[in-house]
Amino acid sequence: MTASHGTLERGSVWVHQGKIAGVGVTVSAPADATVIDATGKFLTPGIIDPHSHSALSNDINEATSPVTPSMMMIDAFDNMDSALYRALAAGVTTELLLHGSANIIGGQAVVIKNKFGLSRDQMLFPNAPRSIKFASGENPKRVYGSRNELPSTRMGNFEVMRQSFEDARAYMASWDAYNAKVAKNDKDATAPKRDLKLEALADVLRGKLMVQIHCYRADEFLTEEAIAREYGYKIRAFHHALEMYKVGDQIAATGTAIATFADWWGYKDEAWDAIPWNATMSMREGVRVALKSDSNDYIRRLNQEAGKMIHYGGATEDEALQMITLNPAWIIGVDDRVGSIDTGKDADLVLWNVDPLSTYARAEKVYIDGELFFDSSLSGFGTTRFHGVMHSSGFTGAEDEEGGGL
Amino acid sequence: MERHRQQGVRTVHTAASMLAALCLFAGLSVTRAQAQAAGGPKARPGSVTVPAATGPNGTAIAPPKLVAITGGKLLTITHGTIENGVIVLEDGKIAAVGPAATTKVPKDAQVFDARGMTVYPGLFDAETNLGLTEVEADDASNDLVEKSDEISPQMRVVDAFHAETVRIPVQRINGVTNAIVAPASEDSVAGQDALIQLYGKDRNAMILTPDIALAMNFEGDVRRKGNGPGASKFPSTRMGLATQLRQAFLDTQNYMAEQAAAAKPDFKGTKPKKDLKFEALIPYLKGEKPVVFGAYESYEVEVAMGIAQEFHLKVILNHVTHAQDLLDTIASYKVPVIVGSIYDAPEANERYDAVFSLPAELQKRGVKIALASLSNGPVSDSRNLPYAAGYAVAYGLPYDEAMKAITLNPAEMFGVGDQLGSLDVGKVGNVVIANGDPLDVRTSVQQVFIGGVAIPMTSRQTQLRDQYLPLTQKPK
Repeated sequence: MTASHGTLERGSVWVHQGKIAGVGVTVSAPADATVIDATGKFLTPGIIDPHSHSALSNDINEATSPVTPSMMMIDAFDNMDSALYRALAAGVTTELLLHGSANIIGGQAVVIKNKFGLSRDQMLFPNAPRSIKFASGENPKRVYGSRNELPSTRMGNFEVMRQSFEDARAYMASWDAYNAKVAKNDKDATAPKRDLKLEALADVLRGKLMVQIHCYRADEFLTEEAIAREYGYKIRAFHHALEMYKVGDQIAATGTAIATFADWWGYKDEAWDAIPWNATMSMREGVRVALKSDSNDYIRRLNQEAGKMIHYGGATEDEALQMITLNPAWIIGVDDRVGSIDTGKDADLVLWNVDPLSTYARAEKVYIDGELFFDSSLSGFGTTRFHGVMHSSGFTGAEDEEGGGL
Repeated sequence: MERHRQQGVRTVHTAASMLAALCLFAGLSVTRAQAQAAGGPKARPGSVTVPAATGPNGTAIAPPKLVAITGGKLLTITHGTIENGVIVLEDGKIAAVGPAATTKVPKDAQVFDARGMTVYPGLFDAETNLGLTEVEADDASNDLVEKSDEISPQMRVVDAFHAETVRIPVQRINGVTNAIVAPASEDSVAGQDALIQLYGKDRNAMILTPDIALAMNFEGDVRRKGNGPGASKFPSTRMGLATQLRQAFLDTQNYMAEQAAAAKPDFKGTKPKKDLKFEALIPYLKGEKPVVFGAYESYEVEVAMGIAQEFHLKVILNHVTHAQDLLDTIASYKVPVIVGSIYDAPEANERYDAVFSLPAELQKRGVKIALASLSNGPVSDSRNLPYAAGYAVAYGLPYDEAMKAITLNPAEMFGVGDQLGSLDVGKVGNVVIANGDPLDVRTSVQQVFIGGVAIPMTSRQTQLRDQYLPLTQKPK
C-alpha cells in the first residue's frame, strides 16, 4: 500500500542504503540482496503522527506566560521514554513533538524518527523544517484566566497574539535600522539587544517557522487566518480542528491542512460539535487532512483510526492511509522524504499481519531508514536496538485531558 | 445522501471499500415513504429502512409491532452462525430465529432485507457513565460520583440518570443497545449501578434494572484525602482503605443483627432507626446481587478478593489490567472479570502487548470475561466497544469469545442472560444489522433494533453532518 499510487497486490520494494531504491510488481534489486518474504502480508509507509507530546518528561507546557516562542521541545526530549517504544511497536516512525496548548504562542517542536534505542541526536529527523505551536480557545483562557491574568477570553487570546506580532515587527525594524546604519558605515550604529522570544516571533513573520495551531471552532479558524494574512505568515495546519467541516471550503482555499481526531468529542465545550465525519467531509471540501494521536494511547492504533474513516464517510483505502502517512508528512514539511513508498524516499516501512486499516492489524516489522527497529517475533520487547531500562513520563501524553498536561 | 453519490464517482480501489460505500448509500437512502408504507415496505436487496418521524426523546412514533429481518448472516452467539437467516421480532421480543429455508416470515411483518449483511445481538457495555455526564470539562453537567464519603452504597445512579443525554443516541447507532451505568471509580463503595436500554421515551422506559449491582473499588486512586503532602484525613493509604471497607461491612452485619432483634415480638426499648447506608449494603452482604469490584493491579486484586471472600460477596472483578503475574490465581477465584480497559498502558518495561493480550490469557484459563468502553483517556465511547473486542482478537482471543465478551457474558454476569445478549427466541428484540464484521472499524451499522423497534438512526452528530453536507457537495 504505497499511499501515493495505490496498492500493488503482489508488490516488491528494494531498499538500498536506507532509501527506497525501487518499488513495483518486480524490482531490479541485485542478486545478493537480503530477501524478506512478505507474501500474504501488507506493507505500508511508516505511520506519521503530526501531533504528539510523547517523551517530553511531562514538560509539555511552559505555562508561565502566554507567549513562549523560544521554548525548544528538544530540550525536554527523553529518548528512553516507553511511549516511544509502544508507538514504534504500532508502526509509528515519525513524530512531531509539540508544545502543549496552554499558551497562545507556545514553543518550537522537535521532529523525531522513532529509532528507539539510539541516542537523542540519532533520533532527530535530519534537517526537518522548524515548527512552532500556537493555541487558541479554551485552554489559554482557562490557564491564565484562572489566575486572573490576561487572557481570560477569546478576545484576550487574539489580542495577546496581535500585540506579540506588533512587538516582533518593532524588533525587526530596530534590526533593519541597525543593519542599514552598518551598511552605511555609520559609526554610531548600536546593535539592538538580542531577544530570544522576539527572534522566534520574527522568524514566524519571516516564514521560517511553520505554524501549527491548536484550534477547535469554526470562527477561530477564520480569525486565525485573518491574523495570519494581516501579519503575513502562513498557517501550516490547524490541530484538533473538530469543526472544520463547517468551513472547510473557505479554509481549503488558504492551503492550511488539518490534523484532527477520528472520533473524539464532547470532552469540553469546544469539542461539543465534533462529528466523526469531520475528516472525510473536510477532505471532500478540499482540505488536506491528517489524523493524529495527541495521546500515548491512541498513537498505538492510528491505523485503526484511519480505518474508521472508511466507516465514517466512505474514505477509500488510499485516502484513509494518506491521513496517517503522506498528509501528516506534509504538515511536518517532510513529505518529500517520508510518507509513501516511492523511489528515493527514506525506507521507513511497516509490515502488517493483515490489512492495516482493520481492527485486527498488528505491526510485525518496523523499518526506519532501511534498518529493522522492531520485530514482534523477537522475545522481550521486540526491539532490535534497545536493551536497557525504559523511562516512563506517565501515560496520557494528551494536552487536552482533564488533570493531564492540559 | 448526495455525499455518498459523490463518493460513487471517486476512484474506489478495493472491493471492500466499494462495498462499504455502496452499503452506506443503500442503507441511508431508502425513502421514508417506504418506511411509512402501510403493511411494511417491500425492501430492496441489501437495503434496510430508516424509521420515520421521531417522538419523545428520539423514539419512533407508532413503530410496527411485527418485524422480520431476512437474508442476513446471523451471529447468534449461543448456537453458531446462520448464513442465510431470518429473525422475527414481535411485540418487542425475538419471536423466531432460524435458517431462511425453515423460518416463516409473517406476511404482515415489516421486512428488513439484510442480504449481504451481518446480523447480531445488540452490544452490552459492561461499564459506562452514560447519563451521568454530558461535557466532561463542564462540572455542572456531571453527576459522576458522590465524593464526600468513600463508603456511599446508598447513592443510586438512577437518581441522576439523564435519559435525554445527547450521548446515548451517538452510541446506540453503532449497535450498543444495553449498558451498565456506573458511578465513577473514585470511592471504595461508589454506589449502585443501573442496567439501561439505550432507547426509550423517558427515564422509566430506559432503565431496565435499577440498583443491579454495587460499584466497589480497591484502587490507589481512592486515597484522595491522603495521597500527597499535607495529607491529614483517614484513609490516606491502601491499609486505611481496606480497614474502612471491612469496618463498613462489619457495621452492616451489626446493624442487621440489631434490626433483627428489634423485629422480634418480645423486643423492648427504642427501635433502631433505619440507616439507608447500611440498608443499601444488605442485599450484597446476603449475596443476592453482585458487587463489581474494581482493582487494577495484581496486588490490589488479591486484597479485594480477600475482603470479598471474608464477607461472602458475589464478585464481578473489574478493571483488571496489570495482572499478568496472577492469571492462574484469578482463574481459581471462579469469578467473572471485566478486563481492562485493554488500552491501559503496560507497566514501564513490560512488553507493548502485555495488556492487549490479557483478555485472551484469562479466557484461555476458563475465566468468563467482558469488556467495557470506559478507559483512561478523555474519550470513553460505547460506540468503540466492538473495536476493543476486535483488538483482543488480534492479540489471541478467539473471535466467538470476543463477541460473547460484549454481548452474552456481561448479560450473564449481571443476571440478565435470559433476556439479553444473544439471538434466541424469547429474548428482548435488540438486534443490529451491519454491512460486515461488527468488530472491524471499517464496518458500518445500518440499522439497530431496540425492544423490537427499528430506531431512528440519528444523533446530534448525524444532524450536524447533514446540516453541513451541502458544503461537501459544492462543485469545485
